[in-house]
Amino acid sequence: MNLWQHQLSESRSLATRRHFLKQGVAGLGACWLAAEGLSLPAAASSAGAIQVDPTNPWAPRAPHFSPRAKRVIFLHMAGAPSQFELFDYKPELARLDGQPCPASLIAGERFAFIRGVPKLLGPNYPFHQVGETGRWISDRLPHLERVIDRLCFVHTMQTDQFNHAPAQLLVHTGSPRGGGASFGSWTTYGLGSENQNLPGFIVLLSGGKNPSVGQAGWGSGFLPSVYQGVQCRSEGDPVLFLSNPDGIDATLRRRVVEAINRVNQETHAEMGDPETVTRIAQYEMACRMQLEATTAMNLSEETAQTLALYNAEPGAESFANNCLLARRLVERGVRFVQLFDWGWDMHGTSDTTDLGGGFAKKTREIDQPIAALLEDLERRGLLDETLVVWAGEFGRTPMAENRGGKANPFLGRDHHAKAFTLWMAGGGVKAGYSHGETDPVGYGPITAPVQVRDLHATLLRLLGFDNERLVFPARGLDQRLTGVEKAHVVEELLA
Amino acid sequence: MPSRALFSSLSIARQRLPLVVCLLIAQPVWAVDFNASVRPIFVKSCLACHGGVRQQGSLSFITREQALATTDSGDPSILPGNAAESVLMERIKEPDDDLRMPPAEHGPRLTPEEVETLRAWIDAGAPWSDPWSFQVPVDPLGPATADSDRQFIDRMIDTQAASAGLTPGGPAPAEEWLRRVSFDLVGLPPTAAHRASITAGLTPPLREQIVDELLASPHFGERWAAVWLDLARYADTIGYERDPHRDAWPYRDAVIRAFNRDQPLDEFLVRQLAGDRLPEPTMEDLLATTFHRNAPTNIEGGTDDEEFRIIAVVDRVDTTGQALLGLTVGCARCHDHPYDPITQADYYRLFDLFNSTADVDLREEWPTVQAPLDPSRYEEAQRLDRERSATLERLFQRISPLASELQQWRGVTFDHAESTGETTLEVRAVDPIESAALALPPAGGNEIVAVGTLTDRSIYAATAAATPLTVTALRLEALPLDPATAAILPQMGFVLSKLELTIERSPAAEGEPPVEEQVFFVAGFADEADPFIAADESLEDNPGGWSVYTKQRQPRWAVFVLDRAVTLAAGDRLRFRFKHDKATDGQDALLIRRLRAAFSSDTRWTELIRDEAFAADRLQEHELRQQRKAIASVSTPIMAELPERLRRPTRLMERGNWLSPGAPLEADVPAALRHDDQPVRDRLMLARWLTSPEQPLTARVFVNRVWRELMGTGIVATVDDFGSTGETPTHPQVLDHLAVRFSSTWKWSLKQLLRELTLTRAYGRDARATPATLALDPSNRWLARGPRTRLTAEMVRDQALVLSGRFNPKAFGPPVMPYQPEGVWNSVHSTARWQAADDEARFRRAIYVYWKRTAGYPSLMAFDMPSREQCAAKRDRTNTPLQALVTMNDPAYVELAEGFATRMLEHDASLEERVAWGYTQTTSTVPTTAALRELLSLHSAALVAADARDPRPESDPPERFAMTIVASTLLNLDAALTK
Repeated sequence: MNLWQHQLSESRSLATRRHFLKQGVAGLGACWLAAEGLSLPAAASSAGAIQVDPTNPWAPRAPHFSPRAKRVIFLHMAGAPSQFELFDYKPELARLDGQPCPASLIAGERFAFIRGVPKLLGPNYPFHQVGETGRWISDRLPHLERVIDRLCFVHTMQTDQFNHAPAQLLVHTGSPRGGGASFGSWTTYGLGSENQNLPGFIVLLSGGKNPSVGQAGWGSGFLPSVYQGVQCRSEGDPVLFLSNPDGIDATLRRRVVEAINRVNQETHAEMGDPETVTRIAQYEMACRMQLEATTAMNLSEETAQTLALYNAEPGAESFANNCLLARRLVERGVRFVQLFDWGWDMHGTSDTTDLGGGFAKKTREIDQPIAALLEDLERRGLLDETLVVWAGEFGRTPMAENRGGKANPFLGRDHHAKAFTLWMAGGGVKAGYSHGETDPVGYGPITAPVQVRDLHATLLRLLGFDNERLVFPARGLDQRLTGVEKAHVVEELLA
Repeated sequence: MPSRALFSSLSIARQRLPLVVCLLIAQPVWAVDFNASVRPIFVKSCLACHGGVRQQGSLSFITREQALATTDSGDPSILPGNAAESVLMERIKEPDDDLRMPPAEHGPRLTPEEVETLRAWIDAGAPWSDPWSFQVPVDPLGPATADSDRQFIDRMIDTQAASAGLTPGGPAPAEEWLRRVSFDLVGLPPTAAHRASITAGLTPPLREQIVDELLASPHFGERWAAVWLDLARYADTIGYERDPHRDAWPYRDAVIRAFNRDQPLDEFLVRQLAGDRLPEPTMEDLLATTFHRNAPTNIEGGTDDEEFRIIAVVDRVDTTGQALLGLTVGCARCHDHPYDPITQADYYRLFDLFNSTADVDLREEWPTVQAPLDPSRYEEAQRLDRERSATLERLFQRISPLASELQQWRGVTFDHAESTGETTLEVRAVDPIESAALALPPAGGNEIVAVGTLTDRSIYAATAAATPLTVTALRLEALPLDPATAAILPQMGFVLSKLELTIERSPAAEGEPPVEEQVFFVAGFADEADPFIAADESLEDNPGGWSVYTKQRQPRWAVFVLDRAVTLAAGDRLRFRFKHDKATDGQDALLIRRLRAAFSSDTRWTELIRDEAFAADRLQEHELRQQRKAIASVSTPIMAELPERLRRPTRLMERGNWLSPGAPLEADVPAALRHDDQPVRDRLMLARWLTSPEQPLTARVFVNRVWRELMGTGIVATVDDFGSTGETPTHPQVLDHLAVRFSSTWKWSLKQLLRELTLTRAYGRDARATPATLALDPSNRWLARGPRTRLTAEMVRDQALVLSGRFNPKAFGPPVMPYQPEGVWNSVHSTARWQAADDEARFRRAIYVYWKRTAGYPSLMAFDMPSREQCAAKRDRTNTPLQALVTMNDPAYVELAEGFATRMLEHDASLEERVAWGYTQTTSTVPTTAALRELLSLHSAALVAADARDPRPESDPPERFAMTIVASTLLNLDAALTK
């Protein structure tokens, strides 16, 4: 047992010894959510509303049905990677490379940057068939090929937003306007979390910039703010303000928290406010979180072999590190781990946004870590109950971008809402299956279009929820992740 | 006689209220009270299929008219006075389980009591009434009573508490009350002077004196502005991807000042919504309108300015509904409101009120006002602005009528046009019928049309053969490609950066080269008095110029006047050059799509330019601009109305989709809320309607919000929803009494309202709870004990500042940046950096801390500060471990704890006294023996730890270190974090 583990076990036993606390929680109904939060507004059909225990809103809860997945790792490639250079094999598009885009395809369409009549752009990389399922993939992801048979592709994703921030909002909150609750928040609201010493919803960023959506991508919106995502960082404190100030070691910190809580017990004896009991629990938990989050985020604990598998390097800010951290976090019972990797917006306006140079670099950065994550999860028996989702916020056009009506200096594609590819793996999804087909140039679906709300309904189903019944009354409505329009679970994706 | 059934159905519908309350709310017992007993059944069991969204079988229970109408079955569902033959009763009593309403899959079936309630109600004639909140409040405290306001409020609260089985508690200890009232009124812990003043006890006059002093404090406005700024979604950035800086802080300061001087709330609201529409608005009136310019702007590349302008208008409508009316009007954007009598058409009538402001999602954030950094120059600046506007208007009044004499204009017939870039130009004949319909000059000429791919910054070159004519002015027309479509869905506009016209004189003799003659224009005038960019700039070498920036709905004109008349002869050739030199983040090129040109020979143009008064006005406009530039200012977005001629027609948006325009609609408020036949046509009328005595919601919603700030929970717990899905008020009489008093007797004075509330017995009660009182009333809705709530995010910071002794009371000005960890700010395409202040600015109050929408200040976020991306009508109050990490470990708090420790050490006393003093400073109470012992024991442990440090920092001796540990501990106590 190392020092951290020792501290951890001691703090846990302290907590269980705390007879007072136990009695307080059981007897009085201490609340994380303020008193008001107890009386959520009554909406017409809140029958399915989640019953949150205000004494511990992170406590694990059972969903509507038996879940296929218990936790989620969502890999968001912020900026929207091109499906034509990765997963949507279009030989016809290669044949038509350089031809003007037929007017019928784009009449009345709105694009972010394309003007007038753009030219079709063939895939920039060769494709080949891999795995037992013989699926087509470009040569950019050689490591991922190892696990391709685990993946379930959706080639016909559609969105109605073609600007980054609104499209990312739609993918993560179900609404292109701010103020909605993110998928991770819905998940922790619905399921709680399995580890009370870590936030139930953790966000990890890479790529050098925050995603366009900003913190709204992991905000709790109208849900209680205890469900908002907590950003963990590679540099500085892994969680903001996690480490003690200079001169305060773990022993002294424990002593401080003990003092705070003993004085708070005095206050409670005097005032009788159940919220004081919550505060005692809150400080206990903060103390445990300091230890556990520090441990969880410490990649040096991993073997050289594992680090090599992911191509991870302790201390750096990288997608590889974040993949490994994601595994460490779900292993510890964190319910939802959201990764954002910025830098996928390949417009072809510079070499970093070139489908040659910049894109090749980005794919190199993600290929090995993702394959490693899936293999590692599987080896540890976690993949069955961990839902891994890989997606951008929209697709790219089959046409080359011609910003301002002129061919761009590098190879690039504009934002495209009509079709994009994502994949899922693990918890309850049909491995080896590919859903939907786009037309010969990949402009839009010819079969089985899937809307973002359908994706959400499907993901919620995998987590054990009926999307119609996972509601929270706010602003006069029973709010849902899937919104007011009818959403369909894509049954074919379920194993 | 009402059956017990009526009451029990009531209590089922509002399970959260004890039965006794329902008894109190229920109206006279001889009638079936529709709102108390029938409406809740409809809301719970019927409206999902027979309401605003779906009217299955053509049946809806939103209004009485709809409920009594003939349905698809051919019969009405309800026959008033005849339950026995009403289809409704048949359907809800249907023995066949598959046929009985409501269907099992839609939730629980009606209880026998509910069925009985509906029967009794139909038999009583199916009387209907508006939702309680739509009815104008009547003060329940009649004139014949001897009760004061406070006595009345306390009597009502005590009676209801007693009915709930609670015995109202005694007064709070003086220190507890002082702490509560100090935080509630000024957001800061009690001052030493106030604490000294109550040592001998707290008499009623002393309470009043303290309340009055707090209300008069300059910190009052900072505390109450914070409440308003959540509603106003105030932030220091514009939102979305890049999320760059916005100088909205003069608005924040204007709000603080308004609260400090107790500007009556009705006047305040009029200015927030329509300060620009007042006659002779002051600078602060204009700055108040930033309220609705706080909506985010999206400047991400490739965004459609019209789409995000519409999203901003939606934000304004929804915010007005939520914040001021307590109504979820946003529900009616895509379809009729599912529960309340607000139709989709009502929504777009409200939308029309906000649809014709000049802003259009521009990165420049126009329209703006130059807000002087020094408020003492507001008046001077505003005088200059007003004079300049008047001058521009005078000039326009001379230009516009002359330009509109259409017969003078002779159209230019282009024979060739070409463009740089991919843009292709065609020369087309004009359709005289279209010209007449669009009121364009009728005589001759053709037009240049840009087709195909359009390239940003295209330069058009066009030639024409001259016809013999003396030219005094050139008129240009810019038309949308398809004017009929553009009137509804605007197309991209243009900026004409440079206009040049060259005459090639036909050579005097054959074989000689033509003589080139540059036409010199002396002035340019657009078809509006004060456009975003002056048309004159088309004559200068900069990207600005005559423009429709960035969306065009109708044909637009500009006139460029020659400095002297030029005579064209047969054989002369004309060479035009139209240079576009501005691009946007928007979706398309800023180019003129259809361009016509026409000449005038009218000498009045030349005369006008030389006219003394006209020239003087031109000069004065220029000088006023220069004088104004000398006043150091920031550019703050404000509301401004488009000229009448350019108003945007509003259409209902099918399913809320702006690309699916439906029926045209005119501005008004929802019919169900109209109290007379007077339509509400503009923002000023809206603001006056909101604060009129017949308007049932505004005062109630505001008073309720203030109540929540003081008492912990609103009388209506859903402070943003006073509609059918909102909660029923716990103390309806108190709410209505306060609403009526506030809006009449107290003349909308927030300070008066706060004075009355903070001096009630209920507010001043002891907050102690017992297991018995908690069992009866866990969330203190009946107020038998005093309110005890966690401090707001701002108060947590501000209290620590005060205790540290470093509190910087400086008010107003640009936002400040205290310590924030590296890397929190990292927006795409942005180089904005957090530059932590190392001077006294880092000790300023939370309300002055820089707020970036996509990455809020972490320590405030942790304590539930909303992101300010949208109106936050109700701030959460949570307790999470992350908060503990902030107040224990955030270096900003560590520094404040050090300051506090220094103060404790400076206190000339024993260690024990020092710690006890610190404890009392923090919590306003004396520590118990056990608590003091615990803190002293911690101190010893910290001393030991300090000694063990290796190396031991010189600057931080063990005593100091240990006392800092104690100080930090004090800042983290429950008693410190609550009020």
